[in-house]
Amino acid sequence: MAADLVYPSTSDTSPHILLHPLALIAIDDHVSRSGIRRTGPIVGALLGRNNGKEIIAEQTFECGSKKLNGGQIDQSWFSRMVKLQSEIHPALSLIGWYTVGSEPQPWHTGIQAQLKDSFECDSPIFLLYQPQVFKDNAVNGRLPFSMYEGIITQTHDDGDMDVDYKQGSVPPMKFRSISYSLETAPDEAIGLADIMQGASTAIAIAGTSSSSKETDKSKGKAKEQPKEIFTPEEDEQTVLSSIKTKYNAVKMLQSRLDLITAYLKAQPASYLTDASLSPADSTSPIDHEVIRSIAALAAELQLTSPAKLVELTKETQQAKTDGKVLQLLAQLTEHASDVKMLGRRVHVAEPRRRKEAAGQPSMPGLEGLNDWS
Amino acid sequence: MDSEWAKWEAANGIKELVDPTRDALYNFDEANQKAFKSSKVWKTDPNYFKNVRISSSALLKMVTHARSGGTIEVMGLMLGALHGDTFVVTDAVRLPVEGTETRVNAQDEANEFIVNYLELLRDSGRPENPLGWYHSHPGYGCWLSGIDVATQANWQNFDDPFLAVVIDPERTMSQGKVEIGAFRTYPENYKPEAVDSDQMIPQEKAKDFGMHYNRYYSLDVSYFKSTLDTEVLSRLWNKYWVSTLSQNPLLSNRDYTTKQIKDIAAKITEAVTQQREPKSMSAGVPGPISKDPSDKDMVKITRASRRLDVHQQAGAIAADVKDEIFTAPIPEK
Ligand SMILES: [Zn+2]
Repeated sequence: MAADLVYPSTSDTSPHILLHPLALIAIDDHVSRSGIRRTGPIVGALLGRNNGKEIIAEQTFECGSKKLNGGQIDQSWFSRMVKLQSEIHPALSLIGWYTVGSEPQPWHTGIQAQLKDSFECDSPIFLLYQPQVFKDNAVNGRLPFSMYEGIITQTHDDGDMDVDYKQGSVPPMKFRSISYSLETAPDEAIGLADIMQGASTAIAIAGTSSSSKETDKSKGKAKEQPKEIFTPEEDEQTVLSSIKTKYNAVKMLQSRLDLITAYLKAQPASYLTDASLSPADSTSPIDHEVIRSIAALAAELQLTSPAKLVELTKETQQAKTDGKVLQLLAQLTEHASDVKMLGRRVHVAEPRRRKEAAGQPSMPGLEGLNDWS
Repeated sequence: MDSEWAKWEAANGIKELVDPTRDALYNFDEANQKAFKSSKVWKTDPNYFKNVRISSSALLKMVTHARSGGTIEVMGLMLGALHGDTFVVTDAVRLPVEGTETRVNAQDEANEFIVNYLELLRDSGRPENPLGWYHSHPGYGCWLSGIDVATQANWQNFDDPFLAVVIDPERTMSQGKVEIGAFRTYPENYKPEAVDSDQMIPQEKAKDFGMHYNRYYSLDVSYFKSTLDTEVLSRLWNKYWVSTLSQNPLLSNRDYTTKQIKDIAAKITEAVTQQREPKSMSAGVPGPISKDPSDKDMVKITRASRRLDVHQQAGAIAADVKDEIFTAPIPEK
């Protein structure tokens, strides 16, 4: 039934979608909130830019559950919302919509048509968020959604073909799968990294000074006694979290390399290098495309060792030396501060020492200072 | 409706996506919120609110908004709920206002938008309350200016509890870490105990900072994410780990480092001048009350240079790892 809704082949003329992770995280948020509050169904709009060849999905807004009736979005509510959104996102326009499910359903065509007919969204894209994807292993897991465009088809004896949509008759709508990739802005990546490393779960902690992430901020403690000149913990955290990120990335690289090695080892022996074998002997089919990519990767590795190694090394060395100089300067600054403190103490202690020494004939000298310290 | 949702929920496995405990902050208890608001318990203590927890979605929306403004200050509204001494920010929406730092009551222009937006949201079944406002300080750190203090005090007078959040998109980019601060103002007549700040304020903003720094306090900021986010993020990590290995922050952060060193140098010069002529008020920045105002300056300078050093160290580690993996000669067997 539902499978009939999906147009079997893809098309070269379909746009390619670039999806910003912000939109994905916003949909997460919508799904989590609806799941916890038990309100639904989950439907929202996608905002973005269309440059003809690519559609860039940047932002979303939610069509609240109360504004969805009989599989249709409340027309006047939606129009007002689109207008407000255009005030705050003047560069973006309505480019499509999203919902949650495992595959396209008949009611999806209703909203798809509504966007097209009532909201001047020429060829809406449809993002279907697919939670069932989470059942796969995350390491090789794909992202939990598919993208479609709607096409109007008419079935003739000679098969399906695209025709223009004509008012009056209601030709069946189908969804054609379209390709997408992620597009991450640098600021988005930083926000995501902070969330990956620093965000806690959304457990409610009533009325307490919360967060499993106490180490990070030393702000907000204005009332406490003056802090030490620096808090080693905070500094250590910065370095530590950067090492952790590197560690995870190296581990990832290692696991990918292991996978390739394991794959190659599992391949049958080659008849090209072993004369006792013949092409006919190979039992399991070899995926030549994969083997070729691996060979290409190995060949490329030779090329990527930098051609201007001397210059690169020099540049890297220079950056490191600069870093060391900075470290020395920081220490020097710290020492200057300590010396200043020492000077103050001497200033306080010296008159007292003189007074004590007043009756004695000895000259004021360094011995006294040493005694004091 | 309830049974319809149950059917939808079951068909799409949504129940398995959320965890009533781990995702508790995604709930919203309207009656509870109303009761808290009318209890006015926070009135007893000017420092009552101590924490801010921001959802992944709200954080990304604010960070990208701040960055999209470039060198122009932008402003937005935060939605969410109150949990004891904690502001829980669950959503953020942009406001059609710019250049907030130069005009008093710039947000008045957005009032019509706010009213319309909240009405549409409520109608559609989203009952969250406005919880605060955020704006950007491109390049000059997270604190409240004189105008910000006036705006925030105004909000706290008329729609308390209300929160001010400031994001610095430039420092976020150069540090590779979101630079964010959350603040509340003190009542007009309230005299806080000694306030200290480790902010590095550019020279041209120092006067504005110095005149108002004791009119507000900062809250502790942390982030939270949903069970679903955790799943999605681990999948996104599949795409990001490569860039983690390939970047070299020592090289990409040069401009920022240089700027910071220049700033520290300027502070040192100023501290030296003050040290030489302690009676002089020419610098115009009244330091926090202490026996010797230059002590506090020294602490700030030391801390800033120390922090810069730590970022360099982290950068050096990144460069070393990259070097070791990609350019070091393969050892002979
Ligand atoms: Zn400001």
